[in-house]
Amino acid sequence: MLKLAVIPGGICGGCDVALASLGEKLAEILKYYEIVYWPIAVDKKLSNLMNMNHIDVLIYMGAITTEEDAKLAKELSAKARVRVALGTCSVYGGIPGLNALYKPADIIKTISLLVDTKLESSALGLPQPVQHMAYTDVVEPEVLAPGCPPTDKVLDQLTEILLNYAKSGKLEARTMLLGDSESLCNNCPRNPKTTKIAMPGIKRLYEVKLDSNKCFLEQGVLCMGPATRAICTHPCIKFNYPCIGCGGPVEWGSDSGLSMISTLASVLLVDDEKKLLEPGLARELNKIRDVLGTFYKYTLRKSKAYALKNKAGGEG
Amino acid sequence: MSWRPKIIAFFCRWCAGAAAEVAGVSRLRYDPSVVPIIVPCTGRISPSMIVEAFLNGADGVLIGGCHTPNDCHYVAGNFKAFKRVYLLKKLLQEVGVEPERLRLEWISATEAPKLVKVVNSFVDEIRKLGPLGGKHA
Repeated sequence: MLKLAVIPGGICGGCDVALASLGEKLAEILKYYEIVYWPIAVDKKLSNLMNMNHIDVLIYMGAITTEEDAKLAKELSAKARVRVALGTCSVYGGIPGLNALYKPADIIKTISLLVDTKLESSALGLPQPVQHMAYTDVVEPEVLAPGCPPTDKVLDQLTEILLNYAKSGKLEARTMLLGDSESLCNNCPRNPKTTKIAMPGIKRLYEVKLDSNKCFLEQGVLCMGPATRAICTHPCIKFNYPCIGCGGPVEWGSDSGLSMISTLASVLLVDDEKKLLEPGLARELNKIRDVLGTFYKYTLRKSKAYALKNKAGGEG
Repeated sequence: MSWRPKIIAFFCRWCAGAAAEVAGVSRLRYDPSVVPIIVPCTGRISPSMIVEAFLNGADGVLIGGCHTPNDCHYVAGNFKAFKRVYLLKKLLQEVGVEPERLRLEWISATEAPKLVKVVNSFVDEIRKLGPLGGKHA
């Protein structure tokens, strides 16, 4: 039996549920693997895990938000033969990754203003917060499984990899980013009929009655599809809700926010440019209030924008 | 003043790039802190090229293209550049980089003196802002 450990970091629980919902496939995996740690599913002690010499497969979920998370991620990953980053937080920092714009102390201060509790970490013996990170900032995992939560497509690929590894003891490639290497638009059920997409301004969801068969961009609604990896079967889009980019960039190392800015410039009001001129276009672009939150909702921590923030040394 | 700014300038081949050629032929002098790169069209400059320039040590990025509305050789590439730069400036502000470090100017092929003026005033502005990140190298 191979040893499988599932380690949660700063997590909402969605990845736990997604992994547990593998159902019968999980039973198939458990023919080859023994779960040595997974707080939500099995009753195993962390101290036993820390004393183990090696772990075969380690699945890390969630962002790294405290010193405790960072310590666990580093120490346990060193013992693991195959490291899996599961979920967008783990791969790209996810929504908690947006916190990386601020100092941990400032975040704690803001929270204590909002809720009526004293959050004196040291007094309560709680772990100290650190600058929020993705798991991939601490180690280089062999398998990257993005998604918020990881989709059936990604989990099926992960199951395949785990079963193959159990049988052959080998991985197909050094680093594997799961999902398909194409943008979400490629197989979008709303495939725009025209060859040219013209976006008629920028509208909020409440401002427009959405046609469920027409491309969101053609209706003036921001959709991250063009800059997002095809990790899913378009559940949000089929539900008449635009993509918000949880799958991360199309290729590992590229930048979904900058790609989306580029795409947006190419489609926004393309037929009226010469009529509106710069002031008219600027007025439309000003409707985007929060550039980082819009274009980097899930991937800020691993983005070039964040690298630039570090270089500039600004306080956000 | 031992520190000298590093500035990348993307000029479009048809307008600002041609103006830079004219400036050279006419022996107009402009500040040597600027490294010009000629691209086919300002609409070709992707946001990541600009951000990479900053990440790799540029203190400022200048973009020179054709006048709007009708000068662009490829009909409307300059408008694409305008929209990208406008959004990028907002992004720069949010990550704590002065948006003035990125400037977009329309310079036609005959406006060599304007090119010289723009380059020199941009270099002055970056000198005032200092190096990106605040540390003098």
